[in-house]
Amino acid sequence: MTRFILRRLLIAIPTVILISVFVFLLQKLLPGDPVLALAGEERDPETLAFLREKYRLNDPLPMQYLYWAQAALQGDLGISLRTRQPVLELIGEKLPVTLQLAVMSLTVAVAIGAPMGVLAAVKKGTFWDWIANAVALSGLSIPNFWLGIMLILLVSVNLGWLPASGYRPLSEDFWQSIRTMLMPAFVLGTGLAAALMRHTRSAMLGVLRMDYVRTARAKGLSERRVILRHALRNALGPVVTVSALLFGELLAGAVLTEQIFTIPGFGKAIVDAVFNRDYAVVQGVVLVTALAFIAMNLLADVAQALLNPRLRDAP
Amino acid sequence: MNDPVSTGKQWGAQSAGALSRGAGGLSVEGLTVTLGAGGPAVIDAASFAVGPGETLCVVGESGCGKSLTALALMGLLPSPPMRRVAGRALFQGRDLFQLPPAEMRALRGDLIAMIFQEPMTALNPAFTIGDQIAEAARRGGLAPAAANARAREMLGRVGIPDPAARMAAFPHQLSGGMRQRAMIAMALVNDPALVIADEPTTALDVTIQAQVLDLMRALQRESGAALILITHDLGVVAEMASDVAVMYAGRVVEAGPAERVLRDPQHPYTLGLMASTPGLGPAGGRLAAIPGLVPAAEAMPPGCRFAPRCPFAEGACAAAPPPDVEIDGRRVACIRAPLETLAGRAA
Repeated sequence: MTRFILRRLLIAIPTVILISVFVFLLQKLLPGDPVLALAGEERDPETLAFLREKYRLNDPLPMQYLYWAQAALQGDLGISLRTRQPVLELIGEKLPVTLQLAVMSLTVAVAIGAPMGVLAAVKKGTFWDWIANAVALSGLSIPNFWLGIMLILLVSVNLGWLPASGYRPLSEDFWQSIRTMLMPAFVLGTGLAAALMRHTRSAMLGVLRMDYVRTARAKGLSERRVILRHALRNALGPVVTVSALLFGELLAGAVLTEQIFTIPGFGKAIVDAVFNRDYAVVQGVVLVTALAFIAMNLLADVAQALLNPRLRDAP
Repeated sequence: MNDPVSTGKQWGAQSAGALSRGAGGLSVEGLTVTLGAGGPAVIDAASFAVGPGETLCVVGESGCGKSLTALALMGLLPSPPMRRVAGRALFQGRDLFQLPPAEMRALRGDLIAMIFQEPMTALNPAFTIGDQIAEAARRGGLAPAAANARAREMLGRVGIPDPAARMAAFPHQLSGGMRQRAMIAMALVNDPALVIADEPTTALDVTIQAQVLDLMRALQRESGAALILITHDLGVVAEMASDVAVMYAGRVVEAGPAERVLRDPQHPYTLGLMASTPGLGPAGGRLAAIPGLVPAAEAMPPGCRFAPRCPFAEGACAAAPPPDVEIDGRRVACIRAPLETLAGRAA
């Protein structure tokens, strides 16, 4: 198992390097001269030349990448051109918020999507299957912003059960933090639950046809045990992979939902940075998001291996 | 315990030759399974019987309904589309087909066990074989520790070396023969009175086949269980069967003591099957193939289902299904039987 994880880590390295090159080039490919932006009103050629020299912008591109990568490895992702705040610090502020929202949303998605998928597969072609599909379809087709606004209207304005905004970090006010996140997590989670339900359903349908499910029945096990132990265990693989990818997507931030519930997460940060041409922030956020995606993929692979003993022994 | 018949269960206490819990004979009459409601009969009024300690081989080409027969007996027919519409299956004085689902489930894996054809797919890839065998034992009423001990004991009894270590092996880590041994251990862990084995050796190498058959025979001798062995291989029948039921296109065409049926087949299909099996047909000659194909379920001939392929067929064969006739201690569904006078023409 350790060897399996190590091998997966090694495979991830080229991906990380490729992504870092892309993120680095992002800035170079975009129009505009950072030195001009930095110098502001100052257009004295000597100052510009000095700045170019200082930031080693005259060096060949590969060298510039190495400087940048070296700094990034030491945690120096530059500073925001707009707020002068170190990018890493900014990410340190936003990441926990987005992480909390992602975890809560995925919890909602799994709690709704997985049981519904199992039910739909076991009761295939019946009323329950139809209901689960209808719920999934509405989950997919109702826009998040609309659901968010309707929830605020109903739950916050009319019923007064949950706050519509006023996010506080988990460390400062645990319950307030959870309460403000409940609605956005529900909005995001129901959308993802639909995808998860469809994947769980088709994975379960495939597994329920397998010989070992028949064997489990021939052993006289209860239908419940046949489905929840013998079938579900084998259907979890694709479900876990989809969940991990959905989680990676959540980490990229949810712009509209964050906006509606005024949550200071990644989504809002990246949109602000793009509009302000705050390249260092864009780079930093994209890099962190990409790394998070790779990490989730890695986790999904490990989970697969835990679920499927055959993968563990693969050469 | 929801098992109504497991009185006086004693694990591992049975000595060699002792009968297993209760006499396990099974008598099936008129089992009929259709494809959908009112659809064609894929098993048509099949009747056969097996006594305790005996082995009944159900033999026939693929698609003749022998595996479906096994699943119907286990109450595991894929339904829909399959529907059991008629028949009785008497086991320990009760009709299995009339049992409520919960009672049938209590019998499955306990007094009636099944061994499947392909142990790679029939064993769950996600669990160790020890886990899967112990699960069956726990279901029979054992506490977890005792179930594990019982699973280990069974692995040893089916001839798996170093059973303690193999408990932790996953199915993919075992060879085909070892997997089938594990499968057998799982089926026999609760000491069933009736074992249904669906082509247990078909997926195995020839050398392993003989070993597994030997093992099954030895275990049956120990337990006195009744065994229904489903196979397409007349060689297996010759080696294992005390009785044989030959199935063709969903019908039992000839049934009786194996020795008599094999020595002197009275149904043209049995004859053709033997002529196409090496070592059982006429010596020295070429192996004869039965011309034509098994009819599709939707296009069954109205009369004898074998008539279109039968060298003995005459006009009356296609008119109505042949009645069973009693010849030389066995039951034959052929209006032209006995074949003795005609046998020369078929060879």
